[in-house]
Amino acid sequence: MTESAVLSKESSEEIPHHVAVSMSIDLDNLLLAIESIDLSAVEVMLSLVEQLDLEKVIPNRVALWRLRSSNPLRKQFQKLVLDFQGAKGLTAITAAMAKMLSTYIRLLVNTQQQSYENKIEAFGLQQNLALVDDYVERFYNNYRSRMKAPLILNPSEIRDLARKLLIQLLFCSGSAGEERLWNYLLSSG
Amino acid sequence: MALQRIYSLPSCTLVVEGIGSEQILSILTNFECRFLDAQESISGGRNLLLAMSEAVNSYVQNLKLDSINQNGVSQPEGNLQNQSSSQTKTTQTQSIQSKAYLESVTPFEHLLHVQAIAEDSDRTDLISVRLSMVQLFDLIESFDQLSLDSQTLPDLSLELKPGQFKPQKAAPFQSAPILVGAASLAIAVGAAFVFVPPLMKQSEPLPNPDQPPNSRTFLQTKPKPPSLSSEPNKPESEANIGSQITDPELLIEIEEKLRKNIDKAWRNKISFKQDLTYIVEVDKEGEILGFIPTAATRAILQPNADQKLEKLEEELPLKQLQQSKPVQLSSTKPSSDLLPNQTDSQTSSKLPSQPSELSNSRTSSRANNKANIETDPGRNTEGSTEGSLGVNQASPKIETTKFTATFSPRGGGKLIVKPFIKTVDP
Repeated sequence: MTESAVLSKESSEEIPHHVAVSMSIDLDNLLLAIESIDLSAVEVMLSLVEQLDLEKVIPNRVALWRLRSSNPLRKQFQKLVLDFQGAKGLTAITAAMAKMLSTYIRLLVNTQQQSYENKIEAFGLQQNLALVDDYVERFYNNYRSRMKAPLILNPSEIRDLARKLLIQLLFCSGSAGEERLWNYLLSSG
Repeated sequence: MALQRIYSLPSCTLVVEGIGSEQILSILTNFECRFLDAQESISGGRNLLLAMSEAVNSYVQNLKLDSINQNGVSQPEGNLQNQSSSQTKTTQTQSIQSKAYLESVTPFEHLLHVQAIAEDSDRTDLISVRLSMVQLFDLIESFDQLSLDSQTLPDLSLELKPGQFKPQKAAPFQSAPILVGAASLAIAVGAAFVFVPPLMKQSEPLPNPDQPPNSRTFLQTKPKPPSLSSEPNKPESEANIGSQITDPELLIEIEEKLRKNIDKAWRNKISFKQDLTYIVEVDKEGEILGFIPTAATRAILQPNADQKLEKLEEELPLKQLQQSKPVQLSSTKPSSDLLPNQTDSQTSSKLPSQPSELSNSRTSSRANNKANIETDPGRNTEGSTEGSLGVNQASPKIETTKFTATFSPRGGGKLIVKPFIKTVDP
């Protein structure tokens, strides 16, 4: 008698207790960025479910996919709304993943900054810059293959989004990362 | 005992010194914040620490990342637009002694200004430190670690205030009217609550902040919700039960706990065929204080709804859970043994036939059970009505919240617990 029903039909009594659409989009983008950093991220996420005690919200791979498909920009947009529990679950997973990848995220952010300040050549950090470019291109490809055409962003906007998400991930990789991310998501709604 | 705590991060080190006992640093004497490649270090007392922590927090929360774009090669450093927007995101925190604020120089570079006024003289130290993005993160992370550390300054806690609603990308200038609208809506909602009886106030949980305000629903000024007013025995002393739990984190925790509890206890054979929904009121610990079937559920069970509900109460775990807690309490209270059936009928008054005075006295005594036992166990024997009412006025209120629990017979039994949000019954 478990509640498998994160996405259950609500009874006539209640308003579905869902979160703002922008939150689904933000969370999905962040997860997409994580996937672009770490190619096996989805497997790791699924293994984190148990540690984070989220079995009820995300019992399996399909449930995770369905939660993410609440992003209306996706090709396989499921006509469902992300509910509170689901959003919390995705937030916890995002923060935990960011924490695991924090060393690499720091490197990427640092490199972005060095590139912005034109220090790459001087410091001989072309290798690191290649890592950032790889990440951005992977994100670009992931984004294009998952989101509905026509895309709402043009190619350079998608790449900017990738860079922006990196910094967001940096800030949710801290010890209070989950709270910070949640707070950010609520404020950006 | 002098204590020192060091929060060391790759590019920022926070050293906190103070005095305390039993390894708990409770009084801060001095702190120092050093950055990896900056000459200056920042040091000061509690005021400065608080000011810095607040400034950094709100700066990061309002950090705008829109200006981060294609590798800075083509981007003139600190262009004009950037400068002007950085003015608006400057955050300034003033306390009596110290000031700290941040501004952004480029999208990746931040300038932390700290003005520490020495307590014994008029000397003012003004320090500015340039922080890279990663250093900014390390700084905020060191403050986070400090505030999450229960052994150091336990009175500091991580306080994240929801940031301002960011303007929508597409229409930056429309956001102000929307905000004004939202504010006036909030005022209207507040006003609506003022004029309704306490019962209504009780049963209207604060929507979680992510819930978009829905004027149609929240502006309902119907004084009594049909689902509750159908009960003849409305508890008058509901106000004593106290206020709503509003902390969204806590609410989720409670919801999870409640679901687990009900799920664990629901093991009986299912005799009903339709979904049954109950409104369940719980306290901070997730303990069930009372429950009541919704009007829709009552309608499903017609005719003889009362009888059927009574039977269902035996089958469903709600009653059992509700009673599991007070059993030990009632052992110290002879008076409650006299009314075994009513041990716990309070806020939601599930037994329509019981006299309201009794329910009221139980309500208030229940609200103060803990206090009674802790402060003066002997007093309870005098009679719960007098004893509890006497203590009642001074005692703290219990914070409660409501959920709906839907028992569905489909698929061998399915339980759905959701925060209770009032709508108009169909």
